[in-house]
Amino acid sequence: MTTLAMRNVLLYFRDRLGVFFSLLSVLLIIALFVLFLGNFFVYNYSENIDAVNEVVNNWIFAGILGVTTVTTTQGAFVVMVNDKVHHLYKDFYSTPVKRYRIVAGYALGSFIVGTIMSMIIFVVLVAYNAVMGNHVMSVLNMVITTGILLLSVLLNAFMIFFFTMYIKTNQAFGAISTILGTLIGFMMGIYVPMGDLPNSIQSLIRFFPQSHTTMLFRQLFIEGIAENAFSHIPAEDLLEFQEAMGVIYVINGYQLTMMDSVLILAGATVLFFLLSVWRMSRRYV
Amino acid sequence: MEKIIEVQSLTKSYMVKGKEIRAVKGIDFYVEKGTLFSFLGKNGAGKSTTIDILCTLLEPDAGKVLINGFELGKNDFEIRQSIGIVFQRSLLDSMLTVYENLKIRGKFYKFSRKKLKERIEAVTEIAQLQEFLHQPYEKLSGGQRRRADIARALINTPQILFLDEPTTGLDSGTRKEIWATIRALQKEKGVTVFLTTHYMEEAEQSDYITIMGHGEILAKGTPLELKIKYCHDLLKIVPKNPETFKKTLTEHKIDFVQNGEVLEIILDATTDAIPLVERFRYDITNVEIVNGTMDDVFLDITGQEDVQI
Repeated sequence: MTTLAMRNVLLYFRDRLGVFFSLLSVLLIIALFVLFLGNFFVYNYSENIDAVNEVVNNWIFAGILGVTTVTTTQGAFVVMVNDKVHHLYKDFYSTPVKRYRIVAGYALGSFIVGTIMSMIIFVVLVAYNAVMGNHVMSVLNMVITTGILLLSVLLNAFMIFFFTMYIKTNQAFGAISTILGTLIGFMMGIYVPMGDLPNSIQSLIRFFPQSHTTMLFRQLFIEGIAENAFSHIPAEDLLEFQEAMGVIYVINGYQLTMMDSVLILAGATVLFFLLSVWRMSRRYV
Repeated sequence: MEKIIEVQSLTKSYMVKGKEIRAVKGIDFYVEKGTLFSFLGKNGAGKSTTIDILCTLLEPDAGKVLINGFELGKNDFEIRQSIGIVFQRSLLDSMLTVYENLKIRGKFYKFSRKKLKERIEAVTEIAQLQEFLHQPYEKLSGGQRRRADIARALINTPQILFLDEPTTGLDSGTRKEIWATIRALQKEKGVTVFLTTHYMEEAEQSDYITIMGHGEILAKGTPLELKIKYCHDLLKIVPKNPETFKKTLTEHKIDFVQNGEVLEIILDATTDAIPLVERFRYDITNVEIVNGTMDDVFLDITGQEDVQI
């Protein structure tokens, strides 16, 4: 399993141009937000404009990092689809290695690729803050962010693995990549603050486990700066603002703690792990 | 002789758009250890299905298969350790180097680090990969790729090597080289070679031939046996006076076919030509004896008319 996972990782990174462009696309979104779109969120605040601006930037960074954990992990499954399309699996199946181990190698390989790519983006974001002289998150928060990132990539790896087992062509994979790339930003509430969406959509987003990744990232990214930026706002209004921005989730009056969201992510991971095992046991004994 | 592959009443059907396609209809054959075995048939004859089953890639509907003493379906793990396969379409990673490919594939067989290194060195030597071992597979020529494929198939020291059209698409010089490597493996290393090919001059060199068509075994035997049974030598005569000559042949009850100005007489044995030529020596302008070939055998057995593309 590890042999095949390492081979899949090697194959993914051997396509240097592909890796470059998938990183570039994320960096481009960051640059666009920082340069232009950020102001769009800020314009109706007059006080503490620089501090608010910094909060918004970090809010955006958190969203982008959340999206990255999904898109890069999904992108890594290209190896699995290619092997299926070109029947490369026949070679692996003719060896004494058990089939479910071969297939599981794709999930593990994508987990590794997703982790590496997401960590690169995370480092870039932290480095940006450091270079610009902005507030840099505490080491503890970096460790927590990394932990959540790993859990999130793991969830994505199992979830996408489960669905990719049904995909048989490059076209289908490409189409799903495009749809996912478009929808995921929406499902994580990074384009539009959650408060601006209808209630039903807000509930849908909260129900989508991966959106908790983004929410947690937001808390971690803006901790230490939000307090200053919104010192003039009453605590009650701040809570409402945080809810509207998807920094906290309030369900039926109950505000989810960080641990609640981590448990939701872990639960979803176990669910998709079991679904994947079920699918593998039917198909790849 | 020891049988290394034994196939009994092997059956496999597919469902294609709700219609049942019987790809393999209960075939029986065996392969003796250390021989070069040719498995022939036109496209769609059921060859690939049979090979996929023997290589544990496809489950049969019915039948019993023993490979290297292990029963298919029960001891697949052991079977996979005893076989090496050169697939019709190469299945190595094109972006990785030949060495990386061999190393990754070798690891599937759970060798120690030292043993894996030895195996890579050994197959590099056998398939002569030295010159391009560290080049990406996609940059190789057709012949070099085939060598790499063969090296891959040999990485686990298989007792049986399956070669599915190993020389298709190669130029004749490269074909000869690949062929020499295959022969050397069989003769020197004692590897049993299970071959499919469309080149009859290759099949002719094998120890035993089995021909498949429409999911059934149509014929089997040594190349010589098949030739004796299924093809005939031909005596081609250009007579001085066609009309009288034809009359003479008819009077002597000798069957012939006219092909332009050439009269063709089918012979049971090559030597039968001698008395005929002797008898008519003064009526003949030109004479030629054509030996039957494996191509004739193949076409005779599989039928010329329903050529499938």
